[in-house]
Amino acid sequence: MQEISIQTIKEASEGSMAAFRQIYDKASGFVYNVALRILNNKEDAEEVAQDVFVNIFRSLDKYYFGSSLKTWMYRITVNASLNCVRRRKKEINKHVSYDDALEKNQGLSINAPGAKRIEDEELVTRMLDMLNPDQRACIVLRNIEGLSYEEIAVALAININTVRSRLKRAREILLTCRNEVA
Amino acid sequence: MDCKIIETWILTDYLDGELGPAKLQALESHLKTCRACSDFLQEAKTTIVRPFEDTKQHMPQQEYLWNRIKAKIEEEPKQYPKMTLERIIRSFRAPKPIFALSTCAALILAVFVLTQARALYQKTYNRQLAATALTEQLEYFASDEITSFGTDAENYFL
Repeated sequence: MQEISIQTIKEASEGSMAAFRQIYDKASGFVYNVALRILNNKEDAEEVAQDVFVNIFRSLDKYYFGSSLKTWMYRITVNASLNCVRRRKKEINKHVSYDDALEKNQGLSINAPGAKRIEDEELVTRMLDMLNPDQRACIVLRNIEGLSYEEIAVALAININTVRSRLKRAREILLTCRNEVA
Repeated sequence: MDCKIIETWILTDYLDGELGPAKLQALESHLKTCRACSDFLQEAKTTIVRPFEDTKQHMPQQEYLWNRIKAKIEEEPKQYPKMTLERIIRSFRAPKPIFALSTCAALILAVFVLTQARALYQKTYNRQLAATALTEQLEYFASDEITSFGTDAENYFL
């Protein structure tokens, strides 16, 4: 994410939509991407991204400038996505199978798509689908977003050793299921 | 070194570049002598690292999503803390330990102030009583006119 100036954050926290639009332009990509990877559903990811930005707009005056804005946004996004997963689990009728999710994701706009890339994308989607939501969040933040263990621990509000154990368990599952997903 | 420990390091800190120099050295010397762990590392790289290397960022439909966000924000405009009532309500929403602690502190302060005020009032009242009694006594001794010697029996004899 490109850097967002303190001035922009202050103006947005005072209600400036122009300043907030700047924040949105710089952060919408990763917010949507993380939500989509965790939820594996385009409509849910859009809804979560919308809620995340409304939440950010309303909470900017509570943002502590000493912490990283990016990590704070990751935290809001992951929490919103995990809450959405839990809600979705409760709504049995709204359950989305992997095939449905793939069908829904046909219209995803991927930067410069090619046959190989689409194949890789499908493999990643299948791999993430093997994991539980907490493990998926860890893998998305580490392998796709490139966060360090410390940043993941802050974003998920968990101990750094819990980050390690979730990553280890997730990768063990991926190794075990490699023939199924490949 | 135990291969189980090496596998754990490979699956976590090593693949993510978070392994410290001492452990890294230990792991690399182990890999030179253990074929099983070397194969495990290659398998881990192929299966759980490479597929994620070329993933590209999915982008939302920027304008469509922005319009939805803007509409939702305008639908329920943000309330700025200008109303006193809201501030009071907000203070009640503070985390419970902070609220409990501040309530206890306020109660202790109130009890202390009341006790001190009562003690001060009692002291002042006693001083006033003593001063009045002294004044009356001095006035009595200063006066030459003796109207009474005390009880009826004392008046009779004196």
